[in-house]
Amino acid sequence: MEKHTIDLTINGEKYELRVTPNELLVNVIRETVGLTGTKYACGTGQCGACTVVVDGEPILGCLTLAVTVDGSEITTIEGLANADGILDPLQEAFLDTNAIQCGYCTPGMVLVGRDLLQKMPNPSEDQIRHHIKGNICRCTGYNGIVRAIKKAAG
Amino acid sequence: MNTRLISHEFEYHAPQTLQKALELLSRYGPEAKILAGGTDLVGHLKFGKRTPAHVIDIKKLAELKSISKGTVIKIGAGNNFKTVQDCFAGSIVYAGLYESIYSIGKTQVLNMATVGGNLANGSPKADTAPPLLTYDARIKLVSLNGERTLDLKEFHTGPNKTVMADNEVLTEIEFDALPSHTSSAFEKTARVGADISKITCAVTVVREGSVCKSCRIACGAAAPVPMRTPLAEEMMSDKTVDEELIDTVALQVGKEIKPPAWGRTSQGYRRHMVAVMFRDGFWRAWEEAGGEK
Amino acid sequence: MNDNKFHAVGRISRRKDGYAKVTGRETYVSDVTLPRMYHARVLRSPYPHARIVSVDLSGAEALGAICLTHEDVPDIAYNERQVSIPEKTYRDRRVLSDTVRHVGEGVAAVAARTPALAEKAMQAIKVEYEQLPGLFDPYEAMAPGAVPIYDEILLGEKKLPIENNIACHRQVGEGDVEQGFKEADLIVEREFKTGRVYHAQMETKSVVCRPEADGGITVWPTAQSIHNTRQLLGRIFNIPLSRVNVHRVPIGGAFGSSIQMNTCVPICVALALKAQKPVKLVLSREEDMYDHCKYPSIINLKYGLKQDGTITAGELKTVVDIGGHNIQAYPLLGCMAGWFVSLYRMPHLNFDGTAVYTNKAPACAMQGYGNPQVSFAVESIMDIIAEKLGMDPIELRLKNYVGLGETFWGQGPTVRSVIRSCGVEEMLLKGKDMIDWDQRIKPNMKSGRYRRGIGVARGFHTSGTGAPTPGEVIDYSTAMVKVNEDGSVDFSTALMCHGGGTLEAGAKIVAEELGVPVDRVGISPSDTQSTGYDVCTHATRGVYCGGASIQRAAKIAKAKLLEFASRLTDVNPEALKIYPEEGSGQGIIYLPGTLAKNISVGEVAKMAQLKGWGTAIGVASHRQVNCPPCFVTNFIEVEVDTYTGEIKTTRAVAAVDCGTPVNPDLAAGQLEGGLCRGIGLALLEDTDYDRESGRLTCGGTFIDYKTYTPVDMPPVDLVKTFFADTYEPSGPFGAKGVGEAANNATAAAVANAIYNAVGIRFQHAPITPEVVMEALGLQNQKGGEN
Repeated sequence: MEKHTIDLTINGEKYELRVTPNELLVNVIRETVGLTGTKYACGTGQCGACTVVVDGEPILGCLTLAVTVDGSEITTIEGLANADGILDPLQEAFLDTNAIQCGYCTPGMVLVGRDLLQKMPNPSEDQIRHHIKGNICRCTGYNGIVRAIKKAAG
Repeated sequence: MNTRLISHEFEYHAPQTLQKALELLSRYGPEAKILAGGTDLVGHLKFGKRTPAHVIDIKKLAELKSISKGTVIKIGAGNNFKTVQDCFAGSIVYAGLYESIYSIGKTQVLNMATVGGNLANGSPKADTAPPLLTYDARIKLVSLNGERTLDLKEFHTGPNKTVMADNEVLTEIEFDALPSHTSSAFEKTARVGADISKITCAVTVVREGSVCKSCRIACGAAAPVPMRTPLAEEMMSDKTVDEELIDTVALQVGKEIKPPAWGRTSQGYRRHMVAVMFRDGFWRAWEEAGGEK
Repeated sequence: MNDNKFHAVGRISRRKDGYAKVTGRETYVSDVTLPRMYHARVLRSPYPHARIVSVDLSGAEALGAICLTHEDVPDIAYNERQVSIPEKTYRDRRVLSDTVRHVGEGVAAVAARTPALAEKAMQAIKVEYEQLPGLFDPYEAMAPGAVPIYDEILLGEKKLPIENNIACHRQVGEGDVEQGFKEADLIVEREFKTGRVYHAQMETKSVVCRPEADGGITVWPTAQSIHNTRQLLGRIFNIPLSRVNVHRVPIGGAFGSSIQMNTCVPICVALALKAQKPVKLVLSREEDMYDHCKYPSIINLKYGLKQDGTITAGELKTVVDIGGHNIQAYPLLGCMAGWFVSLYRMPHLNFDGTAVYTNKAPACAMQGYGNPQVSFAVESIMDIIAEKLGMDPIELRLKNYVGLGETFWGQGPTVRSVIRSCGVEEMLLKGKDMIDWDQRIKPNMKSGRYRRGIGVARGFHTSGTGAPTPGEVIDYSTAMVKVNEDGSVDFSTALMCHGGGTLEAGAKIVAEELGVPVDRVGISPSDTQSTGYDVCTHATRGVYCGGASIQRAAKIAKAKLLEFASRLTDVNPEALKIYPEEGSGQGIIYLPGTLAKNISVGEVAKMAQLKGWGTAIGVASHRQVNCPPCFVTNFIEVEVDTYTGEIKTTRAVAAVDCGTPVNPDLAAGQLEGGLCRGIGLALLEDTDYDRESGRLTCGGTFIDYKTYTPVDMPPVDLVKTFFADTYEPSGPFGAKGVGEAANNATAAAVANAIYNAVGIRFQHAPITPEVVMEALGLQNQKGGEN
């Protein structure tokens, strides 16, 4: 199996990586690059815990071959806070509501929630729930997360 | 099976043009699989359901991403669901197609999955198939040997089986623009709000006053292939619409589908459900088209 | 609720682990990476029941993998859940066995340099199996002549023959139940079932183990009890506990699935010891789904009552299908008896429970440990009874519930206490007004396609398993609190937070006791070497039991601190108080009535250090002598689509009596999460097995095991939560627990709501649309033919 060299910009940092075609983006991010905020939870695209933002759009890392995103700009949860550590307003909102319990779904929820607020600054609750419906949370029953997104929308 | 990684080994190709992709397909034929969005193929690779020696990535081909809306609406197969959904947002005529994508809904999936891929994998549960069938959509298949256009109706031959040859790429979906007094709707039922369909029903109706000039009905996850229900459609043609007619047609839709006989959902329940969904979808489409119940 | 009495307890503040969780910096087990770490993979049985005849590892070894079979691991029988005393511990588990008893049970394991290589090595192993017949139904398993899944196991140290695949049986009675039924004017008897739900915790079970140079091990496991994990590993691998260090690692959801040492843990340890390298083992979702599940239940429930609604007798019989291993079904049955007995007063009662082995994934505790199952039955039947007697369902419950001043036994017959705080009445009466209970109309007055109904159910859970005398269940916690030289405080405990905020509560308790601002209290990382024993974070004991030990440790540290302060201020330490000064971030020690003696905690601690007086430190190991009930009430409104059988939850009220809510926002979050999972139990979740292959029909992935998504729950404004205004005298600052209470009443409330909507009583969960349509009668609805 031939290895491919891919160039990724992850959270603003450039990486040149050698990957085999069958390597998944989620594993390259977690294991090769060492950014473990992105999670594996189902591996079948059902839960959204592996969400990363590629060229501005949230996608599922567990169903993406790393070779297919060569040349892309990737944002993981670790890339949201700015260089001074100042959090994205949605992250602040998550901290100010009971949106977080075990925290395993949180990175994916924040990335997808942020995507919504970038595209629709004032979403209704229905729109929020629809936009995050690809993300499963087993702890909160979702209300805290919806409240956080509403709060960040202002 | 291991959902954490793909153990199957293969070569990856990212051709820059459609021509190059076709050459690769020609060369590798049955040993190759096309990769578009990945939401189907990557899962199959993990499960060992598909074991191609070569994976040919066509996701980035610009040639597959055009959309044109003239007398014929042409949608490049490489467009992701999000693009197509946005393209038909607000449309009454093509609401069925819009709703079928909206019902999938998951943000990440709509970004990744392509309209072409959803059809090409041949699943009887493909959500865009029923509305496209009601638009009498056509599929364009291209290979090094040339191209052919066929009715979507002819495309699916069995569960996860299509007429596509190993060396073909599905490049475009097209349908004749529908008259303005048409409306369509799509109904879906599933176990939870973000899920593969348990059963779906698309309805496209052309209205003239209180008369249904024509009504096309298609169901998904209701048979080995996505299917139209011509006998039910026949019952609607040029008829004055009232509740009794729709109730009768609904029963016929239920009779015509060929639901699988396994799983927690019985055939009887599926027949019952599709009839309810036809009625719900029809009345929504009818009222959107200005009709009265 | 006393929220103006306390400065920390009952206040809302940002959770201390929130920043790490929201920035992706929190490290869960599968995020732990060590230098030169190998990756493990377990080869699992494709058959539901088989003897392993031979294992050929040569293909794997040729790839450079370290390999193990049952012959390479200690042949020690154990029970992975160590909460019960040894005499009551049923031991049928081995690290790897020569017989597999469910699809997915481990057969062999490999470790290799990369996950891909480990996968290849695992696939290269060849196993010869002798297949045995598989059993998938508890009644078939109990039938004479059924193939034995076990011939013999150990109970404590004694051999226990297993007959008819009965893992254990428990019968508890009081009074004379037949007499009680004779006295009744009305007898109601029904059968109820709940499904074989899967925890679906987001993080799959995982472990990292590093072998140490001195022959010891360091372990990072998914665990709810690091000390029980340590004891088991020490015993299995014959390593003194002082050389077994188990770290507490944040866990991505538990719901009871890691009360027991997870099966991956000793396998990984064995690999690490053999490889003499760190090894990491992370289960795939499909492996995890075969690893554990909730106890399903078949419950036959019978009550006898007088015409005025007083219960004269009650009898509950249950058969529990526990799957291929006994992860402590014996205390489960004891608890189910306890839940039954403590919901409503019964002068005469009988409980009879049988746990049965089958060749399925082993069942274990899942939020409630039999309580959601029992409550589903009891709270459903209460509504049935109320209708027969012509009583309001709330009135019937108020008449019979076990409440203030009464004795209850929560966690089984050996754990009894007197109830000293109770908000049952308040929650029922206040809750009903929040959902227009009195405006309910009977189902036969409803028409149209969409019909709404409101149901009520109540329940409770014990706050832990404490008792005045030692019993069958071990329960105590150890905590350490110390004041640092700058006035900040560390506390350390082996308690685990599953997400609900147990350690947040601990920090608030420390802050409250010491009088320092909450944000100056740090939660120390903990491991088994640096903490005293804590039995487990389970049984809703984190705040009530764990928090109590933390409070006691804080008191000891405070006494030392005030003694040091008295040397500096020349004031008797008994007269000194401490208040938190947010501006400086210091606790200020003062003598009431004057400012002249003010001195900060930091100053005192610093002086104590400089003068060599010592550290203000406290350690306490504490056992609570009660396990007071935290009561819960759910009112749920559903909308039934009578054309499709689909059921939507439209409104809900969830109330809990947890005494003083230490973290009100997190406790409310528990209630909301509990509603979601409880509705899932009622309407959606179950796992089936194919009787030919023994495999899960859902395939073990989330493609076909569904849990509710954001669009399935009602809008936030239509879900209301509140706390009863109570104070538990035996709890830290009046607190009881919340955790499992949040889930126990929900399924019955849903079933009762469905009844109010369409007049049909569903006794078997999950109540799926197909089941509802069948009951509504396909022909009677507009739609298709059967």
